Amino acid sequence: MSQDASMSIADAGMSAELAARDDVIVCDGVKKWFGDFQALRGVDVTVKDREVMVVLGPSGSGKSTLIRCINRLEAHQEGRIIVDGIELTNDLRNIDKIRSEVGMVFQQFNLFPHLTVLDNITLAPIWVRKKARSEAEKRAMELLERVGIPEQAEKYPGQLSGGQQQRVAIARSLAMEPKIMLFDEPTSALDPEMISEVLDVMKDLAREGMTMVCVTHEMGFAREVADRIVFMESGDIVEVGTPEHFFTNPTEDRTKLFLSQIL
Amino acid sequence: MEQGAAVQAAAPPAPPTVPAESPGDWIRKNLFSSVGNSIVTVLFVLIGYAALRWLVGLVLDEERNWAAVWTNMRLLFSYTYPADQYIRIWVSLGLTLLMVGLTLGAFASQVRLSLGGLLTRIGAAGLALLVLAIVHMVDLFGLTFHSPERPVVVMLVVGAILAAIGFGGRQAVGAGSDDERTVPLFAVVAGGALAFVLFLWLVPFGRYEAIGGDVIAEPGTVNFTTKFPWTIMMALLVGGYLAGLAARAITGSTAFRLFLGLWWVAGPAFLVFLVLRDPEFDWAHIWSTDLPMALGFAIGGGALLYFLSAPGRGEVARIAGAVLLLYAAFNWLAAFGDLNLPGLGTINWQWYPFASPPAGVEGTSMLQKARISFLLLALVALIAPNFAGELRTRLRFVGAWAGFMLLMHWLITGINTPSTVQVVQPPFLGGFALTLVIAYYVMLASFPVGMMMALARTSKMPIFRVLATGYIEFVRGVPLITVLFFFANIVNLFLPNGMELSDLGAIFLGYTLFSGAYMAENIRGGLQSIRRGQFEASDALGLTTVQRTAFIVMPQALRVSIPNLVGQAIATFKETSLIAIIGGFDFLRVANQSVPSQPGFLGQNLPALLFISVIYWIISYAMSRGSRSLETRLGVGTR
Amino acid sequence: MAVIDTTQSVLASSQQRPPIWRNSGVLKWVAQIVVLLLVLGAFWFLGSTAIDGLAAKNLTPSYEFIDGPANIQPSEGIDTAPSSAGRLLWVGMVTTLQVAIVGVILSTILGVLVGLARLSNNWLANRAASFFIETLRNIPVLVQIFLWFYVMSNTLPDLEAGEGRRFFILSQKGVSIPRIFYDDGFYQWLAFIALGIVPIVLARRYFNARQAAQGGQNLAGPATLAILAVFAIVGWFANSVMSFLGGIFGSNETAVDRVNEGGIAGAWQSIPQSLMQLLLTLAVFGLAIGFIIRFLNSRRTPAGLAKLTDDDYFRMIFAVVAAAFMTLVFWVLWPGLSSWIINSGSDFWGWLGDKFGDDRGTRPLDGMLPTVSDGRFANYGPTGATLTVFRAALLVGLVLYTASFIAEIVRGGILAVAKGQTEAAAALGLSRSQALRKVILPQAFRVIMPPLGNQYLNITKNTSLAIAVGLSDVVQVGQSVFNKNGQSLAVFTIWMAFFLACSLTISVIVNFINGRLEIVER
Repeated sequence: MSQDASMSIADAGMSAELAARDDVIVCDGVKKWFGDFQALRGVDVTVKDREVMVVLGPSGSGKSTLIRCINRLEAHQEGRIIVDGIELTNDLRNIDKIRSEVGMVFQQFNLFPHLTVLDNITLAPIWVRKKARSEAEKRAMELLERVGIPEQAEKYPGQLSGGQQQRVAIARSLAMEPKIMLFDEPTSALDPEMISEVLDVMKDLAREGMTMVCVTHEMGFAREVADRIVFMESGDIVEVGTPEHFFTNPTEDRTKLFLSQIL
Repeated sequence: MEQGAAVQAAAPPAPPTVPAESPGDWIRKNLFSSVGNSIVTVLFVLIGYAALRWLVGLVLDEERNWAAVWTNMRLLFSYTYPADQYIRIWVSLGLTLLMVGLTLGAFASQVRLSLGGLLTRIGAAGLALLVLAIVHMVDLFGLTFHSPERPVVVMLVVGAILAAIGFGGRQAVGAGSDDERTVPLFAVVAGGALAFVLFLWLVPFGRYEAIGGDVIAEPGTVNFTTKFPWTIMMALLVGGYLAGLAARAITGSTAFRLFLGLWWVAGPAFLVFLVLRDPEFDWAHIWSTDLPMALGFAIGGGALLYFLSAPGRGEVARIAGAVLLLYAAFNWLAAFGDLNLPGLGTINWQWYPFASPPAGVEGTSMLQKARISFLLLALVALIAPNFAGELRTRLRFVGAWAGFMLLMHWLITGINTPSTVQVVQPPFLGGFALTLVIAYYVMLASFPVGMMMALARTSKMPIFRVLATGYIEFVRGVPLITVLFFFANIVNLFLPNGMELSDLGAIFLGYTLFSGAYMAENIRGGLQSIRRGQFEASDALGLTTVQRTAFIVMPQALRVSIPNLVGQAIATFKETSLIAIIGGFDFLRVANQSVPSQPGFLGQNLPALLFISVIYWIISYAMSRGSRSLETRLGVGTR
Repeated sequence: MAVIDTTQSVLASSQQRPPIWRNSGVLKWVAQIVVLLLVLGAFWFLGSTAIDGLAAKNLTPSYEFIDGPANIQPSEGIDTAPSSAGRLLWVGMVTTLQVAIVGVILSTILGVLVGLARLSNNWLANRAASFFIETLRNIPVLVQIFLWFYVMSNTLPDLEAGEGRRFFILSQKGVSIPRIFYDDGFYQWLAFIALGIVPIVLARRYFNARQAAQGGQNLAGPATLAILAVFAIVGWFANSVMSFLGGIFGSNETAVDRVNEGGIAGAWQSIPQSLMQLLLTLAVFGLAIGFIIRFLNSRRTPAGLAKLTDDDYFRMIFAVVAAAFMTLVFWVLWPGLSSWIINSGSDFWGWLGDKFGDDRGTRPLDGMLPTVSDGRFANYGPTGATLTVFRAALLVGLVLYTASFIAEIVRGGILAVAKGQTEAAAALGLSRSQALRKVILPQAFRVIMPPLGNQYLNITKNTSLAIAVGLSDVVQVGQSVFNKNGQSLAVFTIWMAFFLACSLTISVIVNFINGRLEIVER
């Protein structure tokens, strides 16, 4: 794939309205190696303000690595990533800024097991955003209300079901009032009956205009909510398009193969 | 007697001596289920008989003069602490027991013990005494010991009474109700204290005393100077327990627990250095120098920290911390006076007013505690941005600093002031008190060392990792005794002029560094059990490395390492006995040297050694049992 | 549109390195290097203070005392009148090793027995084992050693005065049993047996191949044993043919003689110091370059070399700096190191050569009965293996204490695998003891091995408590040496080196066994 072709792919599937919005995340030729394994082979992608972007692809295709590079849980080695006008480099000041403006939800929830649900949510607002405890707790209760589990505030994560834990994890990220939310396969570790309760919360978020990048295997969610869908394979972006284009009329053979296997 | 208790205390919760089936069935099932099993039973009966016969014979043999122990209790526990100042020992012990009571009341108020199990243990202890007495009377292998009759009769009578109480009570309570019939821990503590007091006042144990080298051993209950203070001690323990229950109900648990935690860190130092040591304060100097300096650091440093802990002052704080750190390091260098660098000449610091003056020249150098305070201020300033927040958080942060400074200055002043206690040997503590204090503070001080080293060893930074690994593996590869030799004999050679470590200080430093390496390995085990997701979630939320370590990683890692940490605490306590080899008069040295060299008890090493074995055993065993129950309590549920 | 503008302007400008004080990649390394320099500086400063201080007391640290007279006699050991302080320290080391090795063996046997008893369903055995463990592990080992010492010397019978030989003597002064020891021809005999390796390898290869091809019983094991037996028996009488090895290894004379007489010792001795320095330098640079090459290889991808980060460059630079520093050590800071390596290498070969000398007898092994002379054990010369009361107290104390820990390790290890495996074994119809031997123990071994290695390490380190009962182990001997001559620093480094070598050996052995076990498992 030539450099020109990939540049055009980055903007593919964008409506005029979407194209006119601000660029919130810009990835330009991002490359990343783990030892001698190349996980990202020059990814170009732009996420617009209030856009919901779903990243699809087989396992090991670099989806997770890409979004983990966006909040610098992994450092990319070549290319550039600009989030909200700030370039990601080794600059400590920038990393701190990005981390508090980009929320992330993990596959394994990663709640802090030794803290109550309320403490899990208020920890970062208090110590990173320097809010007063009372204020942080008030906000935390609002968020728990919003994800539908205010009565669990004093429990420990281990006492909750998987779906509840993931909703707490979303509330924990939202408590930092992020501009962007990253979701790394948020429903993959859940029992089937709990998936919808998490997806509902995510759909609400999307409706309220949060900028979101989701790595997920939930095709229904992708079709319903996504503004654009990105398909990745072996560290490359293969195809970008609207859900309609993607599910009805994909251009690339690899995308067709993937869809035929998964649908 | 203690050995009998050991058998029972080691028993699992399920009481084997009161089975649901008939005794005959039980014996057949557990001892003679097969031919092999029967052989094992016979074999162990013979081995057990021989071992117990030998042990009882050894203890009761008339060559063992147990008066060597009974008359030397004070020597064993507090060495040569002057008798006219002994009230200080009682005050310290009393305060400690009071705090033990408060802590139990605050933390273990929910603990209940099974009544049936308790009675079974009492009964089994009695049974064990009976068995020992009978074994002693039957001589199968010709293990001839010459022992007096009286102890055997006492064993028989006491054993029969205990067995009757235990098994009789057991029958009265009814079998199979272990889980339902429980007694609160308080009842057990209070009952134990009462039994001890009754023993002191009523049981004709014998009155032992050593007055000016004359040994007095006459029938009767124990000395008034023993039983009276101990009665008060037991009252304090029980009273403390009740107060703890009340305080917890009134003040809310967090504040009260914080107070208890602070006491257990700083309280013992207060007892040792200010109560037991009784420093002779120079009040004029304190008002003119010490107090203003302490207040200066508390208020001035506090103001600086208040400024640095405002949100968004991260870079200012880093620069301020680095500058302070350089200044603190410079203070230490200037403390050496003119610094003689081998091969590079001498650096003169006399232009600096706080540099140590050259030998023989009058002048004032900076007080050591000021240097320490500057260093601490620099380190706290460096981490201040991590704990920044709104007004209340900052005030709490500053308050903690000010409180810590005042406490530290007070303590250092106390340590540096000459003691009024007249003792034979330089350390004013000896015997069991010394063992306990060293063990306690080595555990406490090795904790930060171990934590730093564990973090360094698991860090991603290769040089830190190599340094920490080198330190840990080096220390773990050599025996404690060589480390102690090094610190007792050699370490002062390494220190520049004007700095010196006392013998005890050197031993303490060496033992702490040694213990720190083992501590590091234990904590590292906990750190490695934490999943990567916890680190990633903390990073994604924007926590700094210090915050991540303090709030997320360490609390979880420490919880996992509790069993190992307690194991190490036990090891530290036991290995404190090595101090005896390098010349400290600890528990072992007093028992093994001071007591047997008294004219009346020449060569009586065995009674004293057996006695201290039992004391060591009780404490170590209690700690390991305590850790096991703590483990189950923490392991249960999700906390 | 403000954000669009900033994003585009950021993209348009070339990528900027952040300033150094905010660059996490650089700061990380600055912090590490500063700490490293601080540590090295502290060592250098403290060390030079110590050397100055000692020099002021006329005690410049040196190892010359090793060749000087011993001035002290060890209470017991392989040589009770050592010719030099170095020999004296060696006697102490041998005593330490003897106690450690015997202690390891005995505590393992006892610990395994007690651990199995603790698991027994016989109530009495179970309780007795539990009593043993809980009592002994909670009393300090030093207290136990003292207890055993006074128990033995207060309750055992006197050693009757006079001469005499008996098979077994138990007394206040210790225990003595018949002894088998190696005699002059022992090393020749070993060398002769070593010759058997060639036929053994050939026979094993043959029998293994035959079994692979034809099936049936594999005779490799029996054949090995048979060949070994033949070589041992023939060598018992004919071992003197191996004495020619003495000439090959060289002699243990003075350095000049060694060079003249040739052999390996002579060849080693004639290596010039500068050559050894050069070799060492080459070796460290080889290691550094090897590290860099391996590092770069790990970053090599099919599409070329991966982009190297600041971190990667620092690592490589650091390897070179470390090698350069070691070179400085070899040539300037400690040139004596290389000549020490040359001399001790030559000493070793010379010592080995002497063991094969022509003038030695040919009897490999010999035996003696316990002997009493003048109311005490003869502790050198024709006598039995005597465990003096000092050594016995140390050994009994250490063995019982360590066994109580080993028992818990064994029990824990067996419980860790037992549950499902016991059921599976029972389902297959194996008896309880068969299940234990064939299924559970082999698996438990893997769990047990690492903590067991730790206990072996502990027992070796705890032999240093010999000083409490006055047994001349390496620590006690070292302490008397530095009490006499004040060379505490030098003695301390010898202790450290000795114990670190022991620790290293034990961990190597344990790791090796662990590795073997894991391969067997797969």
